[in-house]
Amino acid sequence: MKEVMEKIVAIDGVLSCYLVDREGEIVGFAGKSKLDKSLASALIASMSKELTTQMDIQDNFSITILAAGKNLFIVTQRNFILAVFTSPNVDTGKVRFELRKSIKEISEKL
Amino acid sequence: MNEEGLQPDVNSLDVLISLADLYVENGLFDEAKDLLKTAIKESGEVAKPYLSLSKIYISQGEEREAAEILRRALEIEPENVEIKQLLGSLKIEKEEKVKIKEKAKEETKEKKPVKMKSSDSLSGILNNLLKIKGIMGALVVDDIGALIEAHMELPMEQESTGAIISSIYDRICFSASDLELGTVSKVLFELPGGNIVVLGSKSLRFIILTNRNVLLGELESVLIDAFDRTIALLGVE
Repeated sequence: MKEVMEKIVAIDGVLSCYLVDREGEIVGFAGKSKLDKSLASALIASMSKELTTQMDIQDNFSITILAAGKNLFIVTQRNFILAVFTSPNVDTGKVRFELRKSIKEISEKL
Repeated sequence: MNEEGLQPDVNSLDVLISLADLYVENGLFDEAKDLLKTAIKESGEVAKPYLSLSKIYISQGEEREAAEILRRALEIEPENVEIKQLLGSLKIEKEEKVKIKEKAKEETKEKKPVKMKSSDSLSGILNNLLKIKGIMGALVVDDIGALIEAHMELPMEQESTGAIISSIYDRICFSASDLELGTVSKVLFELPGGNIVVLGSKSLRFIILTNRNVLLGELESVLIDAFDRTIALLGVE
C-alpha cells in the first residue's frame, strides 16, 4: 500500500497522500505536510460524510477542490478514502488518472 | 453568573435559552423574547440567543424581525448553516433577494458594461449552457442557498437541490479553510449518477449538473465564462 501511495506523491506537484478509513482514522500517509495528520484525516472524512448524509450516496464518488493555495482530490470507496493534496498548478488530469489506478490497487490489497 | 455579565459564562447563557424555551412552551412569548433580548445584550458575540429569538418571531409570523435578527446572527457566525437555512427559508428574505436581483439588472442595463453580450440575461446564460450536450441543469443560488435562477432538464425540486448543494459546498469550504487550501474557486463532485460542478464567489454559487459522460475539461472555459458573465450581470462580488 505504501508503494502505491509513494507512486502518487512522485507525481510533479503532489504534496501528500492520505489513506483514511470512513471514520476519519488515518491508515496510511506519504509525502510532506505541515498539517496535523489526525486533524487532516478527520476533515477529509467529514467532507466525504457530507455527501453521504446529505445526498444519500454511500461510496464510489470523488470530490475535487481547486483552491488558491492547494488542490485536494478525495476519492471515497466502500471502506476507505484516498485523498491527495497538490500544488494549484498541478496537472489535474494526471493526478485523477493516477488516483483511479491507485484506488483499484488499494481495494485489492485491502 | 459572574459579576462581569453573561459573556464569560456559557452555562448562564444556556440556562437563559432553556428558560426562554420553557416560556415558549407555556405560551409566554413576550417574556421569552425579553429574556433572549437580555441574553443578546449581555452575551455579545454569541449567535445562539439570536437564533432562538428569530425562531419565536418566525412562529408568530413576524418575518421582518426574524430576518433582521438572523442577519445579525450571520454576522457573528458567517458559516452557521442553520442560520443560513433559516434565513433562506423566510419569504421576506426571498422577496428581498428578488428586489436586489431586479435592481442589479436595472443598474446593469443602465451602465451597459462592455463585457456583456447583447443577448445576456441570467435566463439566457443558463439556457445556453443547457444546449451543451451532457449538461442536465444549471442553478444560481446566493450565499445563503436561496435560489436565484434555475434551468433543469432533470425532474428535481430546484429550490431544495440548490440549497443542499450550496450547503455541502459551504461546509467543504469551511473544512478547506482548516486544511489551509486557500480560497476555493471550484468544487467538482463525481457521483455514480452524474457530476456536479460548483463555482463559487463571495455572494454566488453557480451549480452545473452533468451526466457522467461529459468531458469536464472541455467545459471548463465555458463554465467560467458563464459564471463571470453571471457575476457581471447581477453586479455582485
